This record gives sequence, structure tokens and C-alpha cells, in this order.
Amino acid sequence: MKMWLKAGVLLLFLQLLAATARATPAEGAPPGVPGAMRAIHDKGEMRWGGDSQGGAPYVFQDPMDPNHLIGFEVDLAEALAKRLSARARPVQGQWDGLLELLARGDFEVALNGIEIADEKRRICELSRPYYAAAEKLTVRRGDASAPRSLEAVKGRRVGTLPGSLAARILERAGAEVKTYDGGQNDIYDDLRIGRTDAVLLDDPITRYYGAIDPALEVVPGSFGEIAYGVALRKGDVEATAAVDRALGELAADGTLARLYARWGLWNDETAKLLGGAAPASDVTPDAYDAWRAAVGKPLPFWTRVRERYPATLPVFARGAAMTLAISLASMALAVALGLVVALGRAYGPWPVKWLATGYIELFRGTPLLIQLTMVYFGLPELGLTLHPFVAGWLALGLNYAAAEAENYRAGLSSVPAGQLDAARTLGLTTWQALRHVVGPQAARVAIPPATNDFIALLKDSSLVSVVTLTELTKSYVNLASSMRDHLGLGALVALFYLLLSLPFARFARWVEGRMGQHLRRAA
Amino acid sequence: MSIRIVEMEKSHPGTGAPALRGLSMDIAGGQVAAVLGRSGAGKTTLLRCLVGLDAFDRGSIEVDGVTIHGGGSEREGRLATAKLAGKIGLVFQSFELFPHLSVLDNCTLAPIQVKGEHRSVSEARARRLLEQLGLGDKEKAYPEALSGGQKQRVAIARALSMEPRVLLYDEPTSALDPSLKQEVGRTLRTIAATGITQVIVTHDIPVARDAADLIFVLDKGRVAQSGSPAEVFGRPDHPATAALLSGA
Repeated sequence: MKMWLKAGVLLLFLQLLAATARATPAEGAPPGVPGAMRAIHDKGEMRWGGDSQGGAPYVFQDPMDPNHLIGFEVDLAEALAKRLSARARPVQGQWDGLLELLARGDFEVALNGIEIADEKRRICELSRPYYAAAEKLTVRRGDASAPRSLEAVKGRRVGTLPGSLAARILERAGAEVKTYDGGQNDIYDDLRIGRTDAVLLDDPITRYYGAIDPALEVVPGSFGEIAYGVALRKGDVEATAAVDRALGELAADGTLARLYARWGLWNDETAKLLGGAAPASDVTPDAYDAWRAAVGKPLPFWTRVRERYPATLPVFARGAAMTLAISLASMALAVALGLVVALGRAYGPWPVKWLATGYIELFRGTPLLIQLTMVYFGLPELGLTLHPFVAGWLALGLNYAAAEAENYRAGLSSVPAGQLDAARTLGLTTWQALRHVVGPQAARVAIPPATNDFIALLKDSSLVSVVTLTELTKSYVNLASSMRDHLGLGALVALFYLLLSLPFARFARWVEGRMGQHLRRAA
Repeated sequence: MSIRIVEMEKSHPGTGAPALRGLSMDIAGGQVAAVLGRSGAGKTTLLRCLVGLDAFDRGSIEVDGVTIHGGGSEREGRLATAKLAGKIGLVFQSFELFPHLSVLDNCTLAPIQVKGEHRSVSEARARRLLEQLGLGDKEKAYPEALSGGQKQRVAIARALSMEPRVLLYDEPTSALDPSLKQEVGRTLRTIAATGITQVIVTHDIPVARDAADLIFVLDKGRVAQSGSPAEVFGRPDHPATAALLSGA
């Protein structure tokens, strides 16, 4: 499926950092991360990384009860962990960052439709393949001009996942490739409404998103073959051998065949891979049927509201709690640090002024995503591995401190210089003058934009999903993908954001009104 | 409570052009002195140096037995004038009342913060001063609600709350209606009666003539002519004085 790492900011920055600070050369794992087998043995737990936004049938939230993760890879991870005498614990991570998170030590294995490809072996170890599948082309049913062969896709708009084998096949064939960062259903939705002429994706995705749509048609035949493997930390030969052994046992005793059959995923490619052991004839594709029943036919809106949405509320509530917690913590840091920076810039000696100005320009002038990536993925290369929440808090707080410092500066410069002079001639020290005379007047100017910043921070906090935190936006994207419902759930998540931001907007107006009472300058 | 300024020199921090060039003044306790002069004669520089907002390069100021010498850095200058803190007050041209504080709090902030006075002590003094200046009913008002003349008297009360020996005024009549100018003279005399030395920097010759015991005409950073109003205005020997009187 969505294969090889997108050549995005994450990788770019890792490589930049790695080039400058190569403390841990080819090993990939930051210093202090133990071998995976030792970690699994010590904790009795195998943490495995996957992205539930990827959707069915890999790892996704059960559309009937999104509080549970299901998928054939969930079952596979559990079977694998059992073989290693451990429990399986899923860890959410952005799909195109899974290998970085793995190297960082956030989980012991990455197991989420990771394509076995040579270029990947430079940064991780790969197990033997556990599943193989064809690339399948899907077109609109009855579209006479639809491309139905690899030759025909030349010059046509074809949708797929970024960095995948399918994308490379399409590029070689001269298609106009359109890639998607969201869930798979977006890709097929665009095909149905005519934004693309075809979709090329791995067979499992085609079965779960393309084949179930009566408006679409899967072109017979294979357009390429792909195999999935489990990724382990670079150099961890012991764990790779153990996973290979466990997968071999699962293939030999029929567990894998049975598992794939339940999910409706059994195919010739996998049969060949597993040595021809077909699933027993009594195994029914119950998991696939449950998916079809849940999302095959879109339910009317009010039915969804009544039957499906109540179960999403705990998921949204957990996301909202994370959003609120990280936003409040980050804002507290931004307010305090911003004050130090602003005062340093306004009243400090020149080196402090210079530092403060540099800080503001640096943090205002570079994308938050890059700052977050450097804190989370970059610092471990220097031996500092932060907890995801701490990394998110730090990156958001440091970034917004620059914005707050600018607010305070605007506030300070709105107070006429004569006010400070007057305070000084009365004998007040600079500090006393700031605290009692300039500060209260500056606050009136600085507080309303600071509240706006907080509301902006609530929304920017969605970026912490790249460091494995599942906040409100990530909760929505995951749910929308597994329940195939963007509009209704979108309205619901918007409601949650409003519930979070409206109290602060009201608070801002209240403060403004209160502080503004005696501050119109008539002199 | 006299103030004595000896050979004060000061150049502009940016340009280095001399602003004060050996300026000397001697004002006895309880007197009202008016400092006149064209723009650029050094009046504002003199005020800022006296209250410690700017440091001066050479010379000295002596107030009430405390002497400050010029020549230090800006910061040292400020520390030096901290010794004078409260001994010299300034009433700003634009008053610079604290808009977020009530009239009473404007007057009590500095005594409480700087002298560490108990609030009740500061408030009692502030109320007495406001009463004397005809503002007894305004203690709860905020500056935005006051007229120009009222603001000026609050600024005076605020400065007096620190119990200064010397009170300076920067252009005290420029922001006032002509009808209020006489009131300024009355206020000056009321305060003079308490023994406080007052220096007004002004363009306003009638006010200087009415209210001042002593006139200093500044020209190019020095005292060009000084004496009683009768002496100075009666015999404008120096061209600068003559130019002021002719309104040129």
C-alpha cells in the first residue's frame, strides 16, 4: 500500500541533523534504546506502531464502536506478540513517520502495510514478508474512456498514496499522479466524482474501499506485486530473527491463512508466499462482512446521529482533553517566556536585546512543524529523547512565546514614554514603574491578541499528532476514515473546537472591557 | 531648601552638540524662579538633568545639603539622583497622570512603593494635598474625567506627595485656557508659602512676571541674564532677553 517514506520535511530534517551531529552513525537507534527483544521481555509488552488514519483493513477504529482498534494487522500484531510471550500494545504514529518513530524508540516494531523495499533497509531492518498482494486499478463503472491498462494511464489523472509502489508504477507509465495524505476513502471519492480517471492501489485497499462502491469497477489483472514486512530498528538482528521465526510459525500452523481469510484478504500471491497452505474451508470472511455491513451503504444522517455518533463521543472527548491540556500548558509557557523575551528586548543591555530579537525572528519565521520535528526527532540524535507530550508542549510553547513577546512589545510601546519618565521622577525604580505604571497599561493592549493567539494555539495543537499524540483533529481524521463519514463527523469535531474556544473568546472580551474602563487617554 | 547649580555641562547624547555650557543658578528656599529662553536654549535639558532623567557631563547640583556631581554614565546618573528621589519633583507639560489609577492612587503610588509608607499615611497626606488644591471631591475620579486645570493640580499633588524640597514645572500654562493662567500663579504662591523652592520653565512672559521672584534667561546653554522681574524686564541688556520681550 502507501509505501516508502514520503520525502517530506521529517526525513529531510532528520538527514540534515544526522549530517551535522552523527553521534550514532548507521545504527539508527538513539543512544540508550535497548534491543527490542530485551524491551519486549522486560515489559511483557510489544509496542507496535501503526496509523489508524490509514484505515481498513490494516489498523482502524471499529466503525460500530470507534473506541476499539481493529484490522488484520491488529490481529497479526496480537498473534505475533503472543509468539514472543508478550501482550501487543498499539502506538499511534503518523504513517509516513513510522520509521523515524521506530528509530527513536517509541515502539519496538512498526507494522502497518510497510512495503519491503531495498532503499528502506538503510534505515531499518525488515522481517520476512507476511502478506503479498497485487496492485489493482479501479475506474468508474460504465466509463467508456476509462484507462484499463498500464499503457492507457499515460497522461491521465490517477489517484494513489504518496511514496507507494503504485505511485512509482504510475510515474513510470507517464500518468498524471495525484497523491493523498488523508484516508483512502478520499481517493475513491475523488474518482467517483470525476476528479481523477482511475485509482491504482494495493489489493486490500481496493477490496475495502473500491470494490464495495457500486459506482466503481475494479479492472481485472495485476499491475504489480507488493509484499509487507515488519520493520525493526536498524542493526537489531536478534529481534529481526525472532520476528522472522514467529512469522514462520504463524504461517506454518495456519494462523496467517485463517486471519487473512476472516478479513477477506486471501489471494494467490499470499498463498504462494506462505507455501500454498490454504485456509480451512470453514473460515468465513466475518470481519470483511462486518465492515461491509457497517460502511458499505451510507446511512441517512439522522440514523448516523442516533446510532453511530454516541459511540464517537468518548473518542472526541479524549481528543479534546489532549488538545486542551497541551494548549493550556503551552500557553502558560508562552506567556511566561514571552514576557521575559519582551522585557529583555525592551529594557535589557544590548546582548540581551540582540538575543531576544533573534529568538523572536527565528521562531516566528520558521514553520512550527519543523520546530516540532526537530525537537521530537532531532534531539534524540543528540541524546535527548523527550516524551511526546513534553516535546509537543515545548515546541508549541517556544513558538508561541515569540508571538506573545511581540504582543507585549506592542503593549509596551503603546504606553507613552512620558509615563515611565513620570514614574521615575517620583522615585520609582524601572521595575516598579513596569509593574505599577507601564505594565497595567500595556496589558490592555496585549491581552486581546494574546487571547486570539490562544485560540490559534488550540488549532495549531493539531500538529502534535505527528509526535504520536492523538488530539481532536487526529481523532476526527481517524474516525472519518474508518467510518467513511467526513461531513457529519466534521460538524461534530467543529462543535468540540467551538466548545473549547468560545469560553476563551468570551473571557477576552470580559478582560478587555474590565481593563479598558479607565484607560482612554484624554490628556 | 535652596537649590544651587554650578557650572553644569551637558552635550546631546546623539549629536554631541553642547546643550548646557557651564550653566549656574542659585535659588533660595521658598522662591519661585522662572526660566525663560527660546527653543533650544537648554530649558528642557536642564529640567531632565535636574530630575535625573538624563545624566549631565560636568558640574554639580546641590539640594538641601545633598550634592550630585556630573560625569557618570546614564545609569550612575540615575543612581545618583536616587539620592535626591523625592527631593526634586517635576510637573510635566502633558501632566503624565497614570490613566489606570484614580486621583488618590496617583498620589499614593510613589510614597507607598518608594518610601514604603503605610497606605493610610499616604492617603491621609494625599487627601490633605488634594483638599488644599481644591480637588477634595475628585479623589475617586480617574484622570480621563478631569479638565486640564484639574489634571495639572493632580500632577502637582502627586509630586508634592513625595514631599519634595524643589518642584519643577515644564511649561505649566501651555496646556491651559487663558482664563486658568491666573489660577496657576495662585497655586505657585500657595506652595511657595510652605517653603518649597519652585522653578518654572516657560515661554509665558506674563506668568513669569506675575508669579516669579527671580528670572533666568537662558541662551545657548548658559544664563544670559538674571535678576528680579523688574530688573530683567526693565533693562533687557542681553539680546536674548530683548528678543524674548519683542516676541521675536
